[in-house]
Amino acid sequence: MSGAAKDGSAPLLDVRGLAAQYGPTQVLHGIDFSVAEGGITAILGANGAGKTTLLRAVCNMIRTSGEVRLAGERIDGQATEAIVRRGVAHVPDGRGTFMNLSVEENLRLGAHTRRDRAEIGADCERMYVHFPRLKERRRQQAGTLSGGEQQMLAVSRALMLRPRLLLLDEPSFGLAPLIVQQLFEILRVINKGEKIGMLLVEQNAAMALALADHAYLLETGRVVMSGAAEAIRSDESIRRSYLGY
Amino acid sequence: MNQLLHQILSGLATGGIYASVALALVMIYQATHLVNFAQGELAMFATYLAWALMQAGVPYWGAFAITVVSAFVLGVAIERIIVRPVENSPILALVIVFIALLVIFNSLAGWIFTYTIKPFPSPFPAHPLFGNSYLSSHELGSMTITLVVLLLLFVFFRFTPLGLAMRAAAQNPVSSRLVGIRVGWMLALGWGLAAAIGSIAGMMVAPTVFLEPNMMGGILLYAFAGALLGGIDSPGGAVLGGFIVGVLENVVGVYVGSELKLTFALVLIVGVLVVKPSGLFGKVHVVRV
Repeated sequence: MSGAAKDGSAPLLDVRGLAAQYGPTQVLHGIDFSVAEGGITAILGANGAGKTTLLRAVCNMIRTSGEVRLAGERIDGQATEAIVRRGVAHVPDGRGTFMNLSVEENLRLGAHTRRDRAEIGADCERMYVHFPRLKERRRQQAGTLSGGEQQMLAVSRALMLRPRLLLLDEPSFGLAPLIVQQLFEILRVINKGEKIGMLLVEQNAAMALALADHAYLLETGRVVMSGAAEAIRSDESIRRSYLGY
Repeated sequence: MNQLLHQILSGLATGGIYASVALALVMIYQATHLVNFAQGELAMFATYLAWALMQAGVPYWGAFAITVVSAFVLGVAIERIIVRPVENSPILALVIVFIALLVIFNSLAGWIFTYTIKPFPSPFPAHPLFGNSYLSSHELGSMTITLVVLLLLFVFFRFTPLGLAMRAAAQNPVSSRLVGIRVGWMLALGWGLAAAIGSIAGMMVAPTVFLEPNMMGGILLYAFAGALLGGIDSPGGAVLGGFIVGVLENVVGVYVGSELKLTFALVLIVGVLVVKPSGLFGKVHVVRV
């Protein structure tokens, strides 16, 4: 019961026995999960379950133990920059906006590791098609954007990498319900159109389960349940007892 | 009136030097949130290198180029070898490292080159250019060079991907890593550039103040006053502040008394800190507690 590809090839992301701690506090206790090539895996859980830590652990922003494989190759222990260069983009907790730089500069930074100058300009334009608000504000300091606009910018900046895997930390956080729907629709389009795998961490279980193909439920640093998103969504007892909707 | 004009123009010439050093201070400040007290001594040491090269028969512009490149390498090396290991230490430890660097380079220069004052050549002709009676060729030439350097830096930081990555790394290291920027190297590059700018300032000011291990002491103070006046986290502001301090210093020197020049810089530092700590163009810092 994992998100591994059915044809037997290695999943895009495969994590085994992932553990992490902040000082003496153990936050993740040996977690296993995976994201299929071109698939979307959702990690659900309440505040403090360790969702943000899990994403940070995948791209080695914190000290961890366990095995992390990207398309079969070990990436645990590599520097964050090196993991990013392998095509793992991160929409971080708190959005990670470069406040003093313009919207367009933020986007261009997302493509920092790319060398195809002409394509980068074209990709900026594609982001403006997804998020017209950003186009209106392209010359504006990113720090002056609203929370929702900064979230759009964070997603766009991550996509500018042309990633194989997109890590999304609570993209719905602080957004109006209508905007959340738009954002998830765009994520669906991008996932289908460009075959970008996604690891989505969310408190908004309903939205996440509708988007994802696989889901894991995290409770105080342990996976307490996993399965096909559809199955979890349709199991009323799970929804009531764990997801609260 | 004529004299005032003369003082303002020649103030702009020294102001260019202060502006360069102020910019070097701001570059390090943005990355470390500390003033690099050793910035002036690095410049002084580089100037000695240029002097030694010229003593060995290297022509001026050859020595100039070698010195700028060496200063850049020295700056990168200092960041990687000395500053990097202590970068997460308490602020006081870093301040002490910077002060130690100041003392080390000062004594090293004295030990190698002695404390005897040495003349340092100017690459510009001795007679005033274009028959003007306001500025010597050296003042005009050094002003031009500092302006060109500042312009090049502006273009580099504003319009190149590497310049953008360096700004990003200084402002937000965590997010920078997440877009694949090698933050450590960007900071080292910042130190290299700051040291290179300082070396140019040192070579431009040495013909006026003469070469000796303490030659940059006063200049660092004026540059610091300029950086604070413009806003310690604003590169453009620091450059403008450097020019303003250069002019004011000259005018104060003539109309009030040259004994009060350094005092004036200190008064300006204290005044800015008391009245408007963020400077003219700096951001007001709000810290969430």
